[in-house]
Amino acid sequence: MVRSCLAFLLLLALWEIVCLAGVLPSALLPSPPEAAAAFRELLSVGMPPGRLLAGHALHSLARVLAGVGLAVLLGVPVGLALGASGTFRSFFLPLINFFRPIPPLAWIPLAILWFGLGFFSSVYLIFLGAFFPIALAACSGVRGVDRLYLDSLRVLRATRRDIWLKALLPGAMPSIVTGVRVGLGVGWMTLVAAEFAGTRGGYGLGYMIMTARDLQRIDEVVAGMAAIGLIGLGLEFILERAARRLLRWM
Amino acid sequence: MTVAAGLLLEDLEKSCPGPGGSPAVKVLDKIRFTARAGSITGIVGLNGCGKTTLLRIIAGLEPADAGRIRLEGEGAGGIGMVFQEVALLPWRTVRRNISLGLELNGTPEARRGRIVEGFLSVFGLEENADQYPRELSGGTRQKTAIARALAPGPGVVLMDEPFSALDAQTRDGMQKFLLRVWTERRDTILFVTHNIEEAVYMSDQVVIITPKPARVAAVIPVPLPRPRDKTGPECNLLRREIFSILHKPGASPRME
Repeated sequence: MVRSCLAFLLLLALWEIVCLAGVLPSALLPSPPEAAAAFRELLSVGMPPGRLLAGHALHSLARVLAGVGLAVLLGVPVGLALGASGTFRSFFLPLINFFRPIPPLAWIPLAILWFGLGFFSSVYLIFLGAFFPIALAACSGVRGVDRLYLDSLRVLRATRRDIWLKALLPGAMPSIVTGVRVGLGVGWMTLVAAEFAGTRGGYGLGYMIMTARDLQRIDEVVAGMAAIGLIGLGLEFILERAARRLLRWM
Repeated sequence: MTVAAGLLLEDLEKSCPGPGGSPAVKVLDKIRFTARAGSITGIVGLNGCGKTTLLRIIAGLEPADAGRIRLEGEGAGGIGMVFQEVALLPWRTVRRNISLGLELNGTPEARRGRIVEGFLSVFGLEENADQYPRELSGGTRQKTAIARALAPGPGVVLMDEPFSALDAQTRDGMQKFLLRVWTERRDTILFVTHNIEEAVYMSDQVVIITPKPARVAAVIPVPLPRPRDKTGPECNLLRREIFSILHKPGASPRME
């Protein structure tokens, strides 16, 4: 904990030195105090004025949770099926590997056509970003379960259902948890970028940053980036805690 | 508790597909012997002679090509198995690992709890009850695995080199422990080992298997009273006899 804080302090110090030394003028990179002031302004005045940082963050979070939630709901079963069945795998894996390298952002035009400029459009993009890591993690999780565990259940005349519930699912869980963490990270990145394309409600961290850019408020752009990072850090912290509880046996 | 069963193996045969599409290789050749209800049978053979395949077939994990397996005894339960490597489910505590077979055979929860607590106490595992397998020593893990196999009251318990991964001292302790438990319960136990000393010390009869394909070379009764003296003259005599059958010229060039 101390060490992690130290790293941030070091970064701040370096940033301050760069600014003080005049390597970059504040029009290109605001100094830490300037960015901090902009952060406070985002909290109290908002960007555009009246739309506060908390509102933007909440809208973004809602989108990301909906998108990642959908990706978990669909990606985990698909991944489990991929992992358990060779037939299923040989049929669907090439398809997945075809769609996977298409960046979610390339879907923006289609997403807007299909879902309009709004909540569902960004949820769809986030879903695309989070689905593949989650599905592939569930797949490799199932494949990685030691056959010995399955045998030890089979000797006891376990049904297929029991084998799933008592061996495959818990055995795949560490991998699934990792997949969800990666998926949430990708989803969060995708989201902010997706909001660059615009949002109908006028709320969202990406939208906030683009508005600040249009108004030449580079200090608020940097403050907005910091907000994105902080929220991502918080999400990861929560997930790590949850993972540790869920995987106490590891 | 379920009654221990007698086990009759009648001419079990098994072939496996050869490497790269070559003709099938015979693994088991007319394996035939009987284990009395409530007795301990040690199965010895050199490594790679098909002992594990034999146990897997008896356990129902693989089908045999021919032959029959008969469990005899009224009200006899199914089959329990202790694997060579520790096959405890790492995401279950000791207590929940022991209860696994009882959950699978639909034992009501209250009864399940009583049985598990009984095993925890007899096996001296009370302190480990809520620990996960990774937190246990090798001996404690194998104790848990044995408790898990015994808990549903199987008619026959199979053990595939149950102590081979343990250090010598722990192994001695576990052998004594298993005999103590067995003396109380009189399970029918079939255990595979490549350790002749262990087989003679533990068993009522020793089945000697020669490799490629696995055949029963001899069934040697061990009519010695327990507790036995591992290095006493009677045990040594039997060990020498078993050793000479195992390593008969032509049986296999490999040494233990």
